[in-house]
Amino acid sequence: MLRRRLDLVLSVLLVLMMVWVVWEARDWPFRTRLFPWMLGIPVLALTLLQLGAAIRNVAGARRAELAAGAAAASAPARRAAPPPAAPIDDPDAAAVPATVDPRAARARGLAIVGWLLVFFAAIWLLGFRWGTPLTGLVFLRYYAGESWRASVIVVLSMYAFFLLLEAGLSVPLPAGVIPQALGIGQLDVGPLSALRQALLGR
Amino acid sequence: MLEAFVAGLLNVFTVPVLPLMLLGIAVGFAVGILPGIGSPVAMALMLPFVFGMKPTEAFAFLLGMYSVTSTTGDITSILFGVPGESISAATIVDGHPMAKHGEAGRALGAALMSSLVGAVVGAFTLAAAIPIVTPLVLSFASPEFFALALLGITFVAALSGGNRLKGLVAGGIGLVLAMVGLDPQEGIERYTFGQVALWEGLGLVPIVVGLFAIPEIIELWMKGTSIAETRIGKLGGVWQGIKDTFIHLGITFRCSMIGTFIGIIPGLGGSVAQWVSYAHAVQSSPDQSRFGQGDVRGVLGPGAANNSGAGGALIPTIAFGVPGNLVMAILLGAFIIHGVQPGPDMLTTNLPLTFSMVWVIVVANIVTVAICLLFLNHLAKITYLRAALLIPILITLVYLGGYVDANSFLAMGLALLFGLIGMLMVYLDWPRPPLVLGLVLGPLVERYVFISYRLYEFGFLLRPLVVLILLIAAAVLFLPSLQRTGAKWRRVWRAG
Amino acid sequence: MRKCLALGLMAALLLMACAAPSTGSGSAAAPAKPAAAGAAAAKPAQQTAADAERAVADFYRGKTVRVIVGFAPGGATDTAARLIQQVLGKHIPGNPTVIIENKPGGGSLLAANTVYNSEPKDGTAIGMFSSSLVLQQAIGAQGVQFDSAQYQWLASAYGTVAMCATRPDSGINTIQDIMGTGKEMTVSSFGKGTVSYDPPAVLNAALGTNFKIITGYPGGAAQRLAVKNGEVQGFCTTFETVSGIERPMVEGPNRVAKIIIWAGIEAPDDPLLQGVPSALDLARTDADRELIRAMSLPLAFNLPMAFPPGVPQDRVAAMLRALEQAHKDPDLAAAAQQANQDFSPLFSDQITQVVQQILSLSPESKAKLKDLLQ
Repeated sequence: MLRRRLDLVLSVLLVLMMVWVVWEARDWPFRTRLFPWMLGIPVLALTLLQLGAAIRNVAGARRAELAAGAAAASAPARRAAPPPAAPIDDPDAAAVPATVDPRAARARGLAIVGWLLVFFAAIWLLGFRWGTPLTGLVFLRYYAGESWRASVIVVLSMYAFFLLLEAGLSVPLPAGVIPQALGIGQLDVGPLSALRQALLGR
Repeated sequence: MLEAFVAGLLNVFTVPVLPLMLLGIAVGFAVGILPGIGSPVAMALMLPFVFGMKPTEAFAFLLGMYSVTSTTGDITSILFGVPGESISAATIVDGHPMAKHGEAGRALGAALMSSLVGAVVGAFTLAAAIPIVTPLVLSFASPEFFALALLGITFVAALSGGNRLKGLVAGGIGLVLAMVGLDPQEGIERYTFGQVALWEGLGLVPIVVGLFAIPEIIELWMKGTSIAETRIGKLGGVWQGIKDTFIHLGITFRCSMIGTFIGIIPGLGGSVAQWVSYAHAVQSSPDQSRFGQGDVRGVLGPGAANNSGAGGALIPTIAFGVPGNLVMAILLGAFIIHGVQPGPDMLTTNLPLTFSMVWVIVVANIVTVAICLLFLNHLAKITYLRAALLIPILITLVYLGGYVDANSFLAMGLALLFGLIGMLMVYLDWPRPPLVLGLVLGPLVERYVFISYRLYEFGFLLRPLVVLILLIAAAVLFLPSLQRTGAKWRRVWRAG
Repeated sequence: MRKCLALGLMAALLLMACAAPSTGSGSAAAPAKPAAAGAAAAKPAQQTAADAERAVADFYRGKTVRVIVGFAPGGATDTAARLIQQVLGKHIPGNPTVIIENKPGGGSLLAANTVYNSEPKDGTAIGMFSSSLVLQQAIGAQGVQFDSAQYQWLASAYGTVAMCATRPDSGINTIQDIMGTGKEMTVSSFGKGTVSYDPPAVLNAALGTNFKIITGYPGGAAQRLAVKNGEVQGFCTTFETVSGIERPMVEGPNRVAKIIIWAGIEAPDDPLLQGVPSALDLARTDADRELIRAMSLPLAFNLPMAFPPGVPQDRVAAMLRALEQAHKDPDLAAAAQQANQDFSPLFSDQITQVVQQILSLSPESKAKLKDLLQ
């Protein structure tokens, strides 16, 4: 049911977005406006159709719920009402295998989204070379409970990888807001230039 | 011409051409396997190294690298559900579910072999097309480009999986997203919120990487196990996958041709070819039920197409200096550096160089497939590793890929944003490929329809090639329903 | 297996850390040479200059200088940047690594904005973008977030003029054929504000020509493909492009186009321009001439490299010297020859002069140009 409701919310948001898309274009010159309207208006119509389908979906599921509730209340021994035929699959079945508790899975899902944001912030603040291994270390050791050995191996390889990219291949990677503010943003390639010379002849 | 054909082949096996090609293959291997770091970025990085080389050496190095990335990109797509290259995203749709069922070996074998077939077909098409390449490319002008882009969009329906309406909406949203940026006619900002960084539009690479990779990362962690949920004993699957390529040779070959042809059209390239060939694989199968759940044909199609595109994309590049795709644009830089003039010279006086390019593609792919086959069993074992070990690496690579494409945090943020959107789409059963297709083709449709109208007024719709392409588009759109209606009527007839 | 991996990794890191520096690069703080007391008193000027150079060298040693190029990799402009990048490093005191960072967007506007505003101002970031942006600033175009007068200009790559060419089968033989006759000529363009759009637009206003500009092509190669397949009758772009990578279009057995006008201040010495009229010559009023001049001024210092304001003067001077030496470097000349790339650089003060001319155009011209080019 959660899925159907979320789908409804998404459909509403899409309709609103398309309304904005079409509306934004109203003051533009003809040629600029042509495609946004030629595409925008039909797509708006499609999103409205989708909204209708999503509403029907939710309504149908509600009816089925009420019917099942009434049937269970009046005759618990009778067979449950057949599940409603609906475009969206039964909510909790598809994403995770039956062996994992759905609530735990959802918690892990939210947690990993949080980690995605943490990694993003770390890269922005500390750059790739420092931000990712440090965050990785915290993730592996303190969140995922991995052993020191496994964590250090993964984290060291990440650091070495970025060292190779920045010093060896001169890939321009961001230094990170904090190192830049402290003035230590630049990678001192002095000691590595000999290695690079040997590897790449440059 | 035959002498050039042979001379080109012999050139490849000289020193230092051969070692350089092998080095290029090694680099391409790494680049393709690493999600996010795409071949355009890698090619740009390698450009400085080609300064000191001779033309044949330089192109052997660069093309060796390029030929390989399409193949190895499929490996990451299958094993992790993370596109190794943005042109390998379609391989995820069926390849990754196969890995989850423990059939990783079979998927990899199929991807590798179909890649080889595709590459060879593309390379030899390039060679065979040399006499006709000039009139071939010149017969395509703006109206034809418009019609082809439109044809590409009709495949949205076939990519919608079960839900047509959602597929169409997703495709429509993709087309709308493609309008973000400066409008190509008047240069007025559209939906850019005043950000100059958005003037060229939303970047394709961060969006594709985020849209497909991040939901897989999230799902992987939610499962809490490893990528493969079941084990299937010995990895005999690899040979099964190779055999599948030839059992379904029709699909493999046709998708190779689709990839080559789409590669020839400047501006379309691998992003489009992979989805169109996937759609074709779906549509041409009598039993479509397993697509999206691990149908090997869903791996064969894109696997072949994204490799054959390499040979195809070379055609306009060397014949006219018009890059077939982003990587070709960088290759042109190498042309300039070495004073090699793309154009008629490449098809006459410089023909041995052109043929050595063809041979590099073929040989590089053979070498890659051979190496991969040796290591496939070990590669597939990664799918049995604990998720926790892979997650930090995957997240890092996704962000790296998003950043490095345009050297901007905005792009990286776009990857994250579309990653979350992708997760929502997966959870709510919205198909993602139509969105990508709309995003890629939208700008082409708009640009070329305006140019065509300005030059030819509505007459552009009556050009013979345009009519042909639009008829094919109509067939793609309506044939499946017509077939179904026809089958229904036949049943009614027989019953009555 | 895992143990081996870890050991190998640590060994590799140790190796890298211990690798003896080859060119004397190492710790950033090199010990200062003890100055002989007598010599210091005798030649104070040389000592200060040497000190200054040493200070710059100390700063750049072991660092990476990023040339932020506003174009995608592989294009002609990016390639020119790479040719320079190859030789620049060894001429900068301290021999830093010089890398190219591509930051395309808005016709190099994004790069120009970023280098001016958010990149480090310590001399490790150089901007390389289109000179036409200076004109954009002058006419008040949207999105310009820098001040050309404040940018510290270093060196440009080459100077060129604009030109327009036509296909023989277009029925147009001279520029007069489309001047005030009602006959029009379709030209392909890849967007407003580019060299494929501005020249024909300005010529339409200044000379009364009848260019029908078909814009929207996705890039220069597509623009020229449209000419090659006959979809349009001609095209306009820089003479540099046409005399360089696209020379077979206008010369030789496979030529498909003929140059019918050039627009600029001084014609390059090239047989291709023999007998081709100059737009300035054909203009009749001063206002018209100013329009044409304004449009062609940026072309004189194409692909400039610049430091943002705030970079210390000694580093600016050092980089300027480095670029001057780089452009005299025989390696650059050889590579440029092979790549058919013409380098005719303008330096610092010369560029600043042209920039000033652009910024001080008359308000009428600016208004007119804004109309035409926006």
